[in-house]
Amino acid sequence: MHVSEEIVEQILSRLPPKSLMRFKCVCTLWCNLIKSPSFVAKHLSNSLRASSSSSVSILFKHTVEKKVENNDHAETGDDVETLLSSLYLCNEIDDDFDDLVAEVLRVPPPMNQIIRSSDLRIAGHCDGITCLKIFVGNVVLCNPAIKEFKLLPKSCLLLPNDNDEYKYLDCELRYYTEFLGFGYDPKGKDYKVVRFEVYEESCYWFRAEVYTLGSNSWREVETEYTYREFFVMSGYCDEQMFFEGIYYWQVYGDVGRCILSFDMGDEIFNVISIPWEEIPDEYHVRLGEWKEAIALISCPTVPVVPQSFDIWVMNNSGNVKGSWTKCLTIGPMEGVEIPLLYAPLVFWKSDELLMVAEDGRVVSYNLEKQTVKYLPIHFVGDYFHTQAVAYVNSIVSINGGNKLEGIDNTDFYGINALGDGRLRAV
Amino acid sequence: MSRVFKLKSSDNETFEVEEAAALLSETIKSSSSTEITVPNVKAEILGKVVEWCNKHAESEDTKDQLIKEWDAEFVSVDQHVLFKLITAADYLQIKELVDQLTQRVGDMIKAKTLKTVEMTYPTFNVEREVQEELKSLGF
Repeated sequence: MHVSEEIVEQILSRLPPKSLMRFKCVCTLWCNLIKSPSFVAKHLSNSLRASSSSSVSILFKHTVEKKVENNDHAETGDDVETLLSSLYLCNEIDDDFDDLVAEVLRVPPPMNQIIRSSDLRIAGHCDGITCLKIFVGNVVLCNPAIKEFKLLPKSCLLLPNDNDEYKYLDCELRYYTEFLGFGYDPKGKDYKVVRFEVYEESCYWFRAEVYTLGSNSWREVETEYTYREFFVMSGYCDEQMFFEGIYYWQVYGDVGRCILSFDMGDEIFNVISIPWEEIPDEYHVRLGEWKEAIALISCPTVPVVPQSFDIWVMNNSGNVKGSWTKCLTIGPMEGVEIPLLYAPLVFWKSDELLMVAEDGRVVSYNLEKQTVKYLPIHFVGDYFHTQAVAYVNSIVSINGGNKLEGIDNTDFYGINALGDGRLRAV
Repeated sequence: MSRVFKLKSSDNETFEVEEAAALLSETIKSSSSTEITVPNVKAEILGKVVEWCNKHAESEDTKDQLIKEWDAEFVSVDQHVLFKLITAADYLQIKELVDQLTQRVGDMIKAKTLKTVEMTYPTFNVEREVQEELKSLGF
């Protein structure tokens, strides 16, 4: 029985990455097919389009107790470790979460020695590739589905203390914080990482650079926001995301809390306002993707019982100056207390919202049926730094491998660092 | 008045198909004649393809739960039959049917391979193991 090559390709393009990596061994024809850009693209488009939820996994960054005999004070010191775990469905039964598998992602050293949750941050994801920030100044791209990791070259921006240009100024540029974004540029057809650095103290500086996977290098981008103050709200993944060619961060700007966007194609920053006049006082917003549009989830910052959230969707997603429409109110949710600030909120399977409850357990709330289900994964300690993203299983390669060399952790664990990870310029 | 198409199998059996069902096939759509011979496809298989087309022609809404269940049953066949159906659907260019059938093969492969533990690439042993698994699935 002979099946045509096209049919074989069609069948293979529906398989999960794990199977495909094995099938590369079968014969050279299959190996070349699976590595070919057109096949990778076809596989990705199948995964993105798939009505079944088995092509989407959740990546969790969380802190767990290390297995030690004495479990006192498990939240501090070396008794905890920070891990990345993948949560995925093992088969197609939608309503039944019993086949959910939580697997710790095996990461190359030194990523497997991270203690504090704040040392590792998920800084965006796209097409199955996740961008991670490790310690200070290290950016790692990873595709968890095919276990590829790549450390990016160092920043091309000089720190103020390295740059003679700034020496004549009175102000002391003692601190800087960096923020990242990652996504796909549909015009240049390449994956890009954008980094902007904000320098604090008496004057504020905002500089930005872009890394492209194709060139494997950074270059600075000009921006008009050089002298303004922009603080990313918390630097965590739920305050930032990539959507349709543009990266979004929630920031503090001149006009208060707003959204800063970066167009990956045009490489231009822009500011979008949040409809604060229509949101109750003492509420804040989280960024997310829902039903193929950008969404804001507004949640209370003080305990209210019962808890409910509103979802706002951006109109005209393609137009950066879009306005917002309130679409849906979630809840009130019975029997589950969701911590109000910073804990992960991820839309999964279009009508499920993944959250972390006050007791550290992960729950999934079904928007239609308004039911809550507990998932087989939990956290210890402070969920403040916990992150979760829903990524699609893809075989997109980042030209990486399974080793990481040259991660700079001396600045953090060494004597030049401040406790919260920022460098002190000398 | 809708036209009636005649599909002939390789073992000379003829199936009469109403226009709505027949036009689900791109091959038939772009054919100038209403009589089409499908080479290499026997009556047993062609009959099943016609059955699928008839079912999908009568129901406009493909998201209907009943149709989904019917489709799921339709593809739950022995792998040899599955591959023969794929060949027929591919020749007739019935995209939706090809999608469903290839998805089914994909699911069967997935079910087998996800049970295996670690992969080391490339080693001779893994290659042979994988080859044997695929052989047993009809590749």
